[in-house]
Amino acid sequence: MHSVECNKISVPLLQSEFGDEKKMSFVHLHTHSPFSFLDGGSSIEELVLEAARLDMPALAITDHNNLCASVKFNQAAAMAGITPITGCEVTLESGSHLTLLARNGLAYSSICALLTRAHLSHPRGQPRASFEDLAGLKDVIVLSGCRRGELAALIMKGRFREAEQQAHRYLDLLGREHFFIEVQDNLLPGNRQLNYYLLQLAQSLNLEPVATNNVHYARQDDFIIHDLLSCVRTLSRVQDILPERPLNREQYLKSPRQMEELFSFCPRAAHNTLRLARECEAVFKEKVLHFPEFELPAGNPVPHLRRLTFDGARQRYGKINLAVRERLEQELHIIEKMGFAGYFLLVHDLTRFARQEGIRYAGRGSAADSLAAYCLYICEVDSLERGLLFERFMSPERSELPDIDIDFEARHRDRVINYVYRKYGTERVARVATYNTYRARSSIRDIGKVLGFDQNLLGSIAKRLPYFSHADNIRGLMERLPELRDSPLHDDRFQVLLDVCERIAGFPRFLSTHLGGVVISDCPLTRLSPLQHSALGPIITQFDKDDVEDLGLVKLDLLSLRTLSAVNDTMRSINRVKEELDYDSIPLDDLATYQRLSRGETIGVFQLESPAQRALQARLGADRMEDVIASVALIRPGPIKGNMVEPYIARRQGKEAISYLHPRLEPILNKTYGVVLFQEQVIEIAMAIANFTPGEADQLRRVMTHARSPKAMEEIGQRFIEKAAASGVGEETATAIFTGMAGYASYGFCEAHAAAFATTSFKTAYLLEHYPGQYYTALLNNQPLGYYPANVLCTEARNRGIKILPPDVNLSSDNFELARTAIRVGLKQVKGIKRDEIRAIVGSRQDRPFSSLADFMRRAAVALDSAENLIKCGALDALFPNRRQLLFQLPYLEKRERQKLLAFSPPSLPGPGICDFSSREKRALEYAILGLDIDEHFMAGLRPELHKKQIRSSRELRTLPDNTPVKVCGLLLRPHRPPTRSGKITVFLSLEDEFGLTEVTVFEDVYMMYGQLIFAPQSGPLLIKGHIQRRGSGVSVTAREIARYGPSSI
Amino acid sequence: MKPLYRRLNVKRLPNGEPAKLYLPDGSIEVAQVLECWCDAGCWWEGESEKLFYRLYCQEGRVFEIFQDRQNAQWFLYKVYD
Repeated sequence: MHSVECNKISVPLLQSEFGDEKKMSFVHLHTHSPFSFLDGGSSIEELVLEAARLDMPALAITDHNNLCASVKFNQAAAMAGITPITGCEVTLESGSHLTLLARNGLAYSSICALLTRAHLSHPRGQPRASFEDLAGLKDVIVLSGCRRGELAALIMKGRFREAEQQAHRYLDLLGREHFFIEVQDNLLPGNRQLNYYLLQLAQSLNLEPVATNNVHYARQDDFIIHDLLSCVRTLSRVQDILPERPLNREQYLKSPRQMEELFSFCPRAAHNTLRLARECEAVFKEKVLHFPEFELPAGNPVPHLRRLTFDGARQRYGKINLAVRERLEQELHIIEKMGFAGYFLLVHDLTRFARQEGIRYAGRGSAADSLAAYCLYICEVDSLERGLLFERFMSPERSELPDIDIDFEARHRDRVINYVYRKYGTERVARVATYNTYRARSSIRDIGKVLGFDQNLLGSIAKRLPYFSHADNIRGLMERLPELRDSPLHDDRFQVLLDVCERIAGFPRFLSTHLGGVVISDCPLTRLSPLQHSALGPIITQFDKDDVEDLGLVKLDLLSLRTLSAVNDTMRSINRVKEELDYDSIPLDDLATYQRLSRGETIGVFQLESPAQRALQARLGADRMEDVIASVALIRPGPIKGNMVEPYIARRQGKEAISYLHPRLEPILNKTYGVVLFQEQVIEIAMAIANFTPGEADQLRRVMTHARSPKAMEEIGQRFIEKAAASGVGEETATAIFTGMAGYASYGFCEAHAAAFATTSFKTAYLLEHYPGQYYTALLNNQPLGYYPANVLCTEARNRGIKILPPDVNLSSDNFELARTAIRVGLKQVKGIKRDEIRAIVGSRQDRPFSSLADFMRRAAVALDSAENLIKCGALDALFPNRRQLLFQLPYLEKRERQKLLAFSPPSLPGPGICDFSSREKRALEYAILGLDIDEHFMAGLRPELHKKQIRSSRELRTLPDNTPVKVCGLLLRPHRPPTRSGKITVFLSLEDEFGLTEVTVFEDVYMMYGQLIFAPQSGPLLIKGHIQRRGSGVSVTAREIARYGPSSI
Repeated sequence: MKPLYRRLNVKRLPNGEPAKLYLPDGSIEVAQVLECWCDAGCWWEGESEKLFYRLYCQEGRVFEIFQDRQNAQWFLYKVYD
């Protein structure tokens, strides 16, 4: 019945439209990528390559309610030589689905607008498009949808008349040339009946049928991936039977032959896919830039920018000399030529707003290569004085858009973003999205849970994996890392889990908000991207930072930097009680600050506090800003891997001769002692040696720094050598320069960025040196911040004579507060306490201080848990010194308060005679509740015992000669494995004790023996045997043996 | 209705669809394939995929049969009275 009757309703084929009928072909018009968020089992690249392998001329991606995949899909399709059809599967208000395909750019924009309305007019995560909104679609092909389409759903319920009426509504709204009946045969129960009626419906309304396979993965084998991700999506286990899970493995990219065979009962439906595919074109054909317009009365932004820039130059320099004028003219010419005048005005306007509002900021990144940016007060680096090249930031010969990154003090960054919204309108401004993708830890947790493994076990397995490790490298890590040697992942039962983790590596899990990316467009953004709510509230694009740039949008990075908040707090604190200190006027030649840097005592200093930085400072002996700038650039994975650090230090200290391959290199490299450290130097060398234009030179820099293909490197190298010969540099010398430059440049750092950071580094070092109380207090109030936890800062403060006082319900405010030479811990540091409770405590004591626990409980009315934590950490010690007795009394007091209300006789309090906690117990409680040691560090309590065992403190180590065998003990902090030049693993870790930190280096052979003690979840101090290594004024220990410290340790 | 899971032999058409069922009490011609669907089963427990057919046979009898895709064996699944 089925096949016979279906064939009866076939409509004559329009032969001319389908071309060569003998050649089988088919286009999949309904395909889900991983951007269907846990409903797609193959990557975009896999889908595209499979379609190309199957000789399909085109492919459509139709994710649920989003176009996130579009940019990457269009790029992948172009590479594979197939036509990308951009679309989506939209959910209507009825909950039913429709498949939308964009014929062109106009259609794409109308889908963006539809999706935006669907997202923004409904709660987050439940986008719904109204039927009426479909009328706004232009040139969009609308397929009636899968089984969750309205027509299919009505037919399956036997409501044929309603299905026909609804089909009429679509037809009337969309028109015959846009609306098609979608038929699928992916071997689900009821398909034959459904298709029969769908085709009847198509015939009765004279609508064209279109075959799709509702593809969710490229190859049949990927069904498992799709099924497991469906379980993650539906929060179910693999054993659970749910209708949302796929029933079979048929939703793959079937070949044209398979699709034609499946639709042999209606060949027209299969052939129509080709016809529709031919009507569609790539929606992103040419990159059109969408510069935001800065509104001006006169209209033209160029004269206005010129005026502001030269006004700023006069303020910066007093008098504009020829060099400044020429440089600014050159920059303004390029800015105008590239159409960036409005963009500069916009950024200037933002920073003007920040200054006006007293919001501290600092421009970072390559924008500091621009003198105009300096004159406009966008950044604080004088690029002319530093000899920085504007071309590193901006060049007409470069296709990449420049962007300006600005750090704002964290507390007020959102005020700046709100200003942008107010000024340019919510329809033209959005935050940039970022995709949270599967990495090793998340994939183990999510898929392991679905497969039914114990969640605690999964948690402990995941924690052992390095934080940023990739999901497709877990087996490699298990072979390599000793802490994973005994991981349960080696068991056979985990092999499927590991296989699946490998397959989903990098798949997006959900959309979230980029840290600081904001796009401002010249046109309503909904023409370019659908917009939606993010979890945190702001409206975001559906594209990440790379994709928005490919769409021609100009991105601003408005980042929040807690360091700047700490700086602001410090400045307020200093200026409130003491003197007028102008942060901008902090002298950059302060001797005491350089001495602090040279001792490597920089914990708390922006960018200079890591162990590697402190070790570098102790060796470098910085005495000028150039050293600080170089330091910021040197301690990066690249320079370390490229072995740039040692030659730099040796030359800086005069231990190694500085030589140049050609005299023309000297003026370029002399500030870095002949080492190519900065990307700007690569550009300058290319211009000086090979007469490259600035744009060509920047292209060379990009080829080198982005580790492009060997072919690209060879080509540009050949051009360099030829042009160098033409400028009088011999082939041998040119080759040597190019090779040397290539070796270093791939690790080079942007000098402008380093200079911008270094200014903040030095100034925070100055605050640390001269105003430690204010600065430590500010750092503690802006946690989490920097490299180390708050307790390390407290140890540092104590070592500089600043006492740490416990929280006190009668004295503490919410924040840490400086009280002469002591820092009082704020109430917000108490674990579990709520803001309302802190307000109640502070408010209740306004009239009179609390006199007892009973008084406190009666007036502050905090929850029992919070009161317990306050007692445990000593916040009520001043009311009664026996914490254990207070803890015993607490429930009675609470009960008494309740029973008073009920007019019962109050119970009597537990009497005296309850012993208090020992001081060691109190310290443990304080650490557990506050994350801080108050009176003294935990290790101080062990010191007599350690001393007997000849285990040295961090203070003692500083006095010992090189190579002395030592035993050290402390709490493990921040173990890490930076990349090394040799590729061997070297672990750096810190041991914390009451005097500070001991830096420990663990080489691969020792790490292989004791890695599980370093990286496995652990508690308690570590005991390390090794020998002293002295470099400059820095001291570290090279480990030989590692053990967990216990009373029985040697 | 209780699934039967009884093995049986099936004669197939060139397109793979069942044409005749060989039951213990004799053979029966398939008049029409009413439905066909595939079920991956509990793949995580090693269960193999099954291809199901609902068949309209001689004398108005309706059968559901399936083929185990791993070993190509046919089974009688349900009989509708």
